[in-house]
Amino acid sequence: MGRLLQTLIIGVDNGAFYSLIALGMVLVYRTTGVLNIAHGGVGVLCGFIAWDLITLRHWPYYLGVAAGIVVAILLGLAFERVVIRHLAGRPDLQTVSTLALFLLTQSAVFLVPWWGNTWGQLFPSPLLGHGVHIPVANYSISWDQIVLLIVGVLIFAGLWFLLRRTRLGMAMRAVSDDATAARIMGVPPNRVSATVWGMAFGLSGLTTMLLAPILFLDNTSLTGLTLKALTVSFIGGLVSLPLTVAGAMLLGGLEAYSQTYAPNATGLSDAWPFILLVIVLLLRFARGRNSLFGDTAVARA
Amino acid sequence: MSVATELRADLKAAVVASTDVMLPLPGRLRPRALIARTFGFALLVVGIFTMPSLLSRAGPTYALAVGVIVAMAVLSVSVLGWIGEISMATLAQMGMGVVILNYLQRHGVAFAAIVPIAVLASIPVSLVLGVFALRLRGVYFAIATLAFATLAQKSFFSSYLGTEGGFEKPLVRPSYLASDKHVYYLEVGTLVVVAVICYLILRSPIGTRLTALRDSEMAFAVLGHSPARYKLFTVCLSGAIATLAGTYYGILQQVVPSNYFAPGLAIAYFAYGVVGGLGSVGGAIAAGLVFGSTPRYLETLSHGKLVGYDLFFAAAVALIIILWVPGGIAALGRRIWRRIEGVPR
Repeated sequence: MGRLLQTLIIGVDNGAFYSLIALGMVLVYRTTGVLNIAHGGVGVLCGFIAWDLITLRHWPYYLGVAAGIVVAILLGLAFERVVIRHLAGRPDLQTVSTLALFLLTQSAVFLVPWWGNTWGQLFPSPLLGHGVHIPVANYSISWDQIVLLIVGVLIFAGLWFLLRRTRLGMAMRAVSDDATAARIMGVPPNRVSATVWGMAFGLSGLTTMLLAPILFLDNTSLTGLTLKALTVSFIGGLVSLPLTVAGAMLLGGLEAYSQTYAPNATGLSDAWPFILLVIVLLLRFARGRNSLFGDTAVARA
Repeated sequence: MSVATELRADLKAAVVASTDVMLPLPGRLRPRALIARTFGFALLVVGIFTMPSLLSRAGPTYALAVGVIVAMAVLSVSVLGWIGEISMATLAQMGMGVVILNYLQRHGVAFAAIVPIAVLASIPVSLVLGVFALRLRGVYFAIATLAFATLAQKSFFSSYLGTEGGFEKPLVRPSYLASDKHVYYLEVGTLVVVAVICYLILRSPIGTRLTALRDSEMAFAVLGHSPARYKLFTVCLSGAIATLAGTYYGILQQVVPSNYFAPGLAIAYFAYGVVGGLGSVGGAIAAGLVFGSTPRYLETLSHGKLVGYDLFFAAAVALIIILWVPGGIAALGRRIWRRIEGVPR
């Protein structure tokens, strides 16, 4: 029982990592139709900027984190202004440009010699080393993990509320559905697009700040999570927030289950995201179908 | 006008538009163009043979040999551009080349026999990817190939080649390929053959049909052609080129760690393909050569100080190309060459 509970906690924890990254991707796709592959790369770059300010320049922790997130937002606004607006109406090219931005931001981290990014850097969270022991599961969960779970739930609820219940969310959906009609109705598409990209990149910065104290600040592993996040965002059809979170929990659970109950099956835990992705891609996106659960799930998002 | 006639007209217009960007065939050349092409061809041949000596001060021939392999890999990415698809599985297919080379060498098969076997053995792997190509399009196909590449690296290459730098499975060079210069000449010879084959396919009716398929799959099918057959053909051709590149990479390096086949590098190769101009043969080769060999030369010239800038540079150039020169190096080169030949715009 204790082992199962432990597996469940690890699964939920892993799922929270993937949800956070995937929610940013879903936000962009749902509102612009562009698959934002740069999400992980931007987050890592801003994470290193925050780490530099906090560790090497001795800024207060929360100020450093805020500066990292502000850089991410500015990067998002600049990317939208220079690239996305220039390629308006060509979502395929916009997606390819996010791929180039992913490479650009990921490799930019390697250019700063004092960031020593070939190994994981310790992100100096004030909660580091503190945690809660759960006797039934014989497992200790750190405060950083608890904060990540809470923030994950808040972001999910916030995005859901934003897209469904606010004028901004309605404007985002209107621009995504028909930009010309939205403009006629008084919605400024450029301002909405800038808001979406600023928010998405800010979210990627925040995600890295939350993940780095748990996983270390490491270029390869954090950008590697982008691939797993892609899997779960595809489970949600790239539009459904609840299905994305459910997919993240499913993936996290499968990985934790394989690690606990099949430790000898080398590579199985790593293979899950890609097995799931292939199944989802073939079932969901083949021949124009939008969702495993029919189009209603997409419409509801 | 019937639907079929309209579709036929649309298809003809699309094919005319796509072939318009190609340069005229040698048979229809004017004297100025003929002289320019003869001179260009001679320069290319001289360049191929003298390049190792000319660049010997900037770095070893190894840098050029790596450049040619990257050119082959980028060509493999570019070939898929013929049907409008993007593949991130190039590195995985290169990995298959290394695995096949190692496996056959351990069973005493000569290198000369391994090369054609590797090309043939790439077909089943390509057919697996081909199934994705038949079911998925655009970015979904790209993500599926990325998943395939990651799965291959994490589950197959890391267990076969090992994670200890590949020293458990060394690859042996035959005596006639003892030096890097010999490997370079073999690679260049192969690349020329592959490029000519690709060029001839593009110029043949198959190439015209592939262009039509890329522009409108539905119209292509309505006219009685099989999109599946042409897609599988292109995926297999692309896979064969990548596997060939992998086999040569194995023989050049002799020790290949499994982490070389991480999908991150496949994204970089795709960026090189964008810079070269997706779908072009010459552009892909030029971009691969430049991005494959320049980092090694810079490393030698700067005494190891300029390392790791290549990805950043490639990504920045790719972004600029996407924004302002959608056709990449190929479009630029074509424009310049048209001026040299005096072809009216």
